Amino acid sequence: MAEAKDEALSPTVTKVLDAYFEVLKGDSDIDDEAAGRLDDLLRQGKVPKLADIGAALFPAGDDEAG
Amino acid sequence: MIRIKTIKVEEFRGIRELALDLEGENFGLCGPNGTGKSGVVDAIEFCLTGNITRLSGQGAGDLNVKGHAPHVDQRANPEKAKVTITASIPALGKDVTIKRSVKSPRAVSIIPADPAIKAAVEELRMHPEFALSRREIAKYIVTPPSRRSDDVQNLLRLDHVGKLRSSFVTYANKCKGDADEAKRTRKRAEDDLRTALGLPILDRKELLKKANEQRNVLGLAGIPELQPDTNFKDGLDEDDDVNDKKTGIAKEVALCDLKALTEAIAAGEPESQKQPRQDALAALKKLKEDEKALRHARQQGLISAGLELVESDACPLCDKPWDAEELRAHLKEKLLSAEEMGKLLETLSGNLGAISAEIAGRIAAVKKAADYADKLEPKVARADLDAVVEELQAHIEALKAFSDDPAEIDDALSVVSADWWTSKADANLRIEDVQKRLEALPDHSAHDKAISFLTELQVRYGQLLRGTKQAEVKAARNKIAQKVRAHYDTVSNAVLEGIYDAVAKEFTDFYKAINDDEGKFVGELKAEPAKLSFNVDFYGRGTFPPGAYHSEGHQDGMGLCLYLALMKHTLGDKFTFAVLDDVLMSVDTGHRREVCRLLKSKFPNTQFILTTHDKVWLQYMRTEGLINKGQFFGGWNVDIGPRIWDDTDIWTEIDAALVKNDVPRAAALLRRYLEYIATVLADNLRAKVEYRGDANYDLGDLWPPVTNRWRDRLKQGVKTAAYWGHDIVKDELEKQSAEAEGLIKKTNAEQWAINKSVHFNEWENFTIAEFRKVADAFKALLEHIRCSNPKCGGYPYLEPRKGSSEQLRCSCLTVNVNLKMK
Repeated sequence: MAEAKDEALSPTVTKVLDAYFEVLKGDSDIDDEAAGRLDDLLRQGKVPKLADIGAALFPAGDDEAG
Repeated sequence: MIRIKTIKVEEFRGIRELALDLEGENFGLCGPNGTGKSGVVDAIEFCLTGNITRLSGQGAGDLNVKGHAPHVDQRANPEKAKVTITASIPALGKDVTIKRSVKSPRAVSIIPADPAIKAAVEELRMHPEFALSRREIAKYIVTPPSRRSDDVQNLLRLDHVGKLRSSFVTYANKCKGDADEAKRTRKRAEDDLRTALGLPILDRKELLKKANEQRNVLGLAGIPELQPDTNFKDGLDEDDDVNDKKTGIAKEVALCDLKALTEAIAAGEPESQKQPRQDALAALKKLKEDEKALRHARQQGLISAGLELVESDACPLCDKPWDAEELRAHLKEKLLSAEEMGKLLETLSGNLGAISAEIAGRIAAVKKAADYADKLEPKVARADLDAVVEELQAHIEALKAFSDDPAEIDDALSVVSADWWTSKADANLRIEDVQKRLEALPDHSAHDKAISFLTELQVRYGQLLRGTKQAEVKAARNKIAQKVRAHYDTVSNAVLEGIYDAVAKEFTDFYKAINDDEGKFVGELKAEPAKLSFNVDFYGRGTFPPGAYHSEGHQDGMGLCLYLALMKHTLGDKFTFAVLDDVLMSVDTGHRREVCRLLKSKFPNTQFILTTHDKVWLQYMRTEGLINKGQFFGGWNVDIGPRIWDDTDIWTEIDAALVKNDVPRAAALLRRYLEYIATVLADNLRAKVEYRGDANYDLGDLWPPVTNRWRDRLKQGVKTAAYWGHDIVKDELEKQSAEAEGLIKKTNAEQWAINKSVHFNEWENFTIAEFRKVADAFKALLEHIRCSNPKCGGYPYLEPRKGSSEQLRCSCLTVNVNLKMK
């Protein structure tokens, strides 16, 4: 179970994020590293911006067509 | 969370100066209405959060903390209104002093300024639900399901879960939009290539065949297989002049482009936009006809943005104070109405996107024709074609404007209603002109045609490859984004359902514990879109909303049980502190002991501060061992604030009055205190008091029945001990009974009715010596009755509460007299 990094996360949110991370890791279509980055982002306790979600799931240069 | 050790309140609400020593334990505050109990609750809330719900919550109107939290005489000196709390933080094993002044409600002094301590105090600020008033119980019980959903979600801190969901939805929608757009761009590139090849359907073999035919004309080797890096011009000189010498136009390809355009115009409405346009038209008309729906659509974005801004108790633009809680609730209600509209807009957006894509395709084709017109020598006037492009571009802009702001519905409706695919006569004439002029261009030699064809093929093949790659990337990202969103929905729903189930089960257990007559009782929490239904069993006749059939008292009990279950799940081990402000006044007296036991047994690590105006209720808390310490508020006036009583230091207070030769004050103190104790004892001992409909009993009504009952129960104890052959117990009770007789006699209470000179109404006229004798007699009698164990000190009570009394006991069982013979 991932450790909460931010005190502002309520137990309920932590519970959701823990279960969510497990499901992401179990999905073969989703890269483990991407799941990890998304998990880190969500545990910052803020509502992420769209660009941040994109950057977590698809790092810059990651097969982006020109 | 914390456990409060001491509270110091200065010039705050109705309190001038008050210090309470809770020692980190459960604590009871009791006093008639208007004596300052709630002022203490407000002080705790203010010190820990900087806010006072009753001055800022729903229905507070023009009230506000800065203006109305100071004592009425210190309105101009808010800096004098302050609250200091010392507390321990069990999780950290540390103590903290928290201090806040009304002058700067948001500034809190935390000593020591340890980050972990600060975080713990901040957590309290985030959980103002630690204080529950009777008024607030209603929001969990008798409330619309949509509002309950908000309140419960707020308590469980689920708003963040919802915000994350919104983020994933928005991101998934964006990815879908990007993928759709990339797909359309690829389709246009494919159409361009297909047109250049003159093929009805793009086929790799046919493409290669056509390319190799032209390479053969040039004497170049055929390309065996189509690859992403295939160079159709491989073997050609770089400086080969490929197109028309003057115009630079590849005649054959240009004619194909023009042919495709004229055929598209002749074909009428594009097949792929028929259904989306039909659906979009219906939706837009519906929106246009329903002003309210349109208003919701227009407001959705604004409301969402507004909700984010309601963070403090004043408008961030003009600083005008507002009631943040009320405003947030209002906006949420509006947003709820707009949610369905959000779904409609999402579908509409997809349909409008399909229409825009078709228009964009037409724009690209007309632009090509205009470019050819421009390149011809002499030129064909392109103005008519540019006008078509401009008009079609305006259509796309209108659809985009509506997506950005549904208020722009009229223009969008015009576009969707218009047959934009038909071309104006002027434009058709220009296209014909261009076509004729292209046909009139000198034919290339077969060699030049081949070069021209391969050059254009290379350009369009490259566009298709890039478009395909982009579409694949966007589609892959969209697939991941949709999965990320779907997983979040599934997981969060499952977690929430689990929490609701666990809360409902806990609620049921708690409620059963305080209502032992409701063995089959069950409570259900059911989450539905945007609402949380709460139904409870009614005597096995089915489940209904709590307000449907249950009494007010039962609803109060349910409110407390649901609150406790929610807090337990929200805070877990951190639920170390709660203020229950007069929350159980409607609960039957028969169930109050069970409430005490519930709090004591199920929440042994939670410090409860309980207020009540019912002295008997306070006494139950003591006798059940829920509280060891309490504070009785014996009166209040605006100049000095609450007058506090500790039921052990009343004698000191009486002594102080006598030292000042103030017998009337000492008499008043004794009388009021005895009225309080008499109420408690009458209930504990089930004294036979002459019934009064208005329940307005004075000391004369209560005290003699109380002493009679005490005497009678001791005698019954003697008889019972004799019956069972418990000689030692019998002897002790006989001794106690004799002592009671003597002490009761000394109070002269039995003489009140027959000798007016000793009546309590006359106490104020006694001499100091006469009054001291009376006070000492009552003090001795009360010491005789109450439990001698200093850790208990409670007044004995009879068990059971109804029927034959079987036991006279105190909560620690130091007093334990058997009254049952068989």
